[in-house]
Amino acid sequence: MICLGIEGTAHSICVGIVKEKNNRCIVLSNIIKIYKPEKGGIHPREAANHHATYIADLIKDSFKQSGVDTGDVDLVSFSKGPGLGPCLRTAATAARALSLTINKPILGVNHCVAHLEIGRGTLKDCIDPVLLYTSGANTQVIAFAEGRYRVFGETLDVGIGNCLDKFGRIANLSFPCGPKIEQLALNAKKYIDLPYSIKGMDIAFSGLLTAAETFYKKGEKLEDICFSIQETAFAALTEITERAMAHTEKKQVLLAGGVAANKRLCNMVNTMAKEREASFFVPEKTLCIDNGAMIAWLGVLMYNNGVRMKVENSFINQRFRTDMVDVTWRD
Amino acid sequence: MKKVCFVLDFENFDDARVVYNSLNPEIKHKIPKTKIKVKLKETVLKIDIEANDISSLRAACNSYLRWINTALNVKKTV
Amino acid sequence: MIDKTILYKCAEAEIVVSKYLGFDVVLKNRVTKGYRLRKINDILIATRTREEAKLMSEARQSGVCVPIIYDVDLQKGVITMSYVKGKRVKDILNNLSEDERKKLCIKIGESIGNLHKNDIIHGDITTSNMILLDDMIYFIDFGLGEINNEIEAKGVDLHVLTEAIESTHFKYSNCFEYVLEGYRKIYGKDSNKIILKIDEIVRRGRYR
Repeated sequence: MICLGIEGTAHSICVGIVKEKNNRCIVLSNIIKIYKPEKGGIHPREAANHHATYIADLIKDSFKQSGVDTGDVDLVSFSKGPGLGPCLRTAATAARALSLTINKPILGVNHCVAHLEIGRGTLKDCIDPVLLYTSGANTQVIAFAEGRYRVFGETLDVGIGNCLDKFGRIANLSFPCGPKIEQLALNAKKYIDLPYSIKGMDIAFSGLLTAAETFYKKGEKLEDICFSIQETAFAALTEITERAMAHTEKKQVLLAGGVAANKRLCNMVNTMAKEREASFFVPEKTLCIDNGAMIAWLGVLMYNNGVRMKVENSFINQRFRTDMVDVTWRD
Repeated sequence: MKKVCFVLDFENFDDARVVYNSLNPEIKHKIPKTKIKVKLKETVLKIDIEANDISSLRAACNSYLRWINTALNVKKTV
Repeated sequence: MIDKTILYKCAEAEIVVSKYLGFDVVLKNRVTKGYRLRKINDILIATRTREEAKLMSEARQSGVCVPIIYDVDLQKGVITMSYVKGKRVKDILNNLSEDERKKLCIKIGESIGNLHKNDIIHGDITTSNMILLDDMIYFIDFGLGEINNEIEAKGVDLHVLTEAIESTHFKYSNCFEYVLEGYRKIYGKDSNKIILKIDEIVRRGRYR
């Protein structure tokens, strides 16, 4: 089975084509186009315009790169949510047009679940992980329990990616700020004590952000602040992930989302996994950030398990919760 | 009440049909302070947009034109 | 310390069974984590150990059952406390009759009400952190707690429990209603403000 997936929940518009073989996911093409605002944060309508501008070309290039003919596609899937309304609606409209044109079924899928499933589908031995999903808007700890992917912990205020971007804007770093903060942190000389906020398995970053801003305005070195933000925030993320692993008694941990590209975060979660004799997984970068292949792959899993959708009912859902998905493809 | 009406005549019925059906779930999906009616007759798509104020009207117009363009571009590339 | 049997290993600590002046005790030993900066590690271990011991004694004063503390070592991050040989609420809740479950949940709510009335925020109210012994519910693991009189803090505290119930006892999600019944009874007229806050916290949580 071959599926084309369209991802468009936030700043990226992506098209991926995957093939299912012996229940494993083979990525045939995976093109990612990221909208970068000239300054400030993401404007949903501008991002949607960006997506509208590029989506048709991305679809064309995906067919070319994958060598797949339009007639070979068995299914079109798209990111139903959660995400920004204007972006979701643009990606969904494109998916419907494609489905209607090539006369193949359509399926809307959950973005967060897709992040987890692409790890399970492409990484050897990654079977039942706790997922630490860290992106701009999303920061969640997700694991499978009794037929659903359940959120065991999440941010109580902003996502970790947004937290890094917000500090970056204060310090005049360009978007996305995470990689620059990571770079600066390498040259730090000392750790500055920042608020560490965990409530159960939930986490909060606004106190840390305010404190970091105060230190910056007081003239502390940017390198030291970047280092301290990473050390504090990532330690807290690692801790809630470990708590979820202990709580669910799972022995695998998977990273996903844009912030998973950060080496320090990977390193911390990897060390934590080793200390509790668990295995650590992180997909390659293009399957870790928002991408179309993961949307395509989740489409395959759901379609093969009998889930169907009509074009006239292919609505988006901005607040599509992870635990709303009935996970029929797992025991 | 502010009103706009778009009348779009497509090259063929298939283009019009794909655009209309691609938009359809978004029409059912209500936007606050805005009312939308869309009708398809042969190759002609007629869209009526009503809004409480001009900025809502403009936002709705932009959205619908964006989606129509997206759907048509996708159809033409494959 | 003569014998050292690990009773339980949680994410941040080892619970070791031991003897102290002839009493059966457990040592809660917070372990150093290699993934985090040594400085952060030491600060977290010392503050959590201190806070936990302090909150446990305050909880006791407010009439909530907690283990008796015998000794606290901030440097090593060890609390020595009485061994409550009961059953975790997490393990029994799903197997009770509807009536028993209701009674237990109301009791849980009453205890949380007592904590909050005295501005004690537990910080990790899950059914794994409650032990049932002789019809009494012992609260353990105050390591993430604080003293705080704000509605927000109390709302977040209860929100943690809703998540625990949704994820571990999802077949019995009405449990939380019973918990609130007990909570209202003890906390009194301001409890509605806190309960409304929970909804706000759920809505605020980014697109889950």
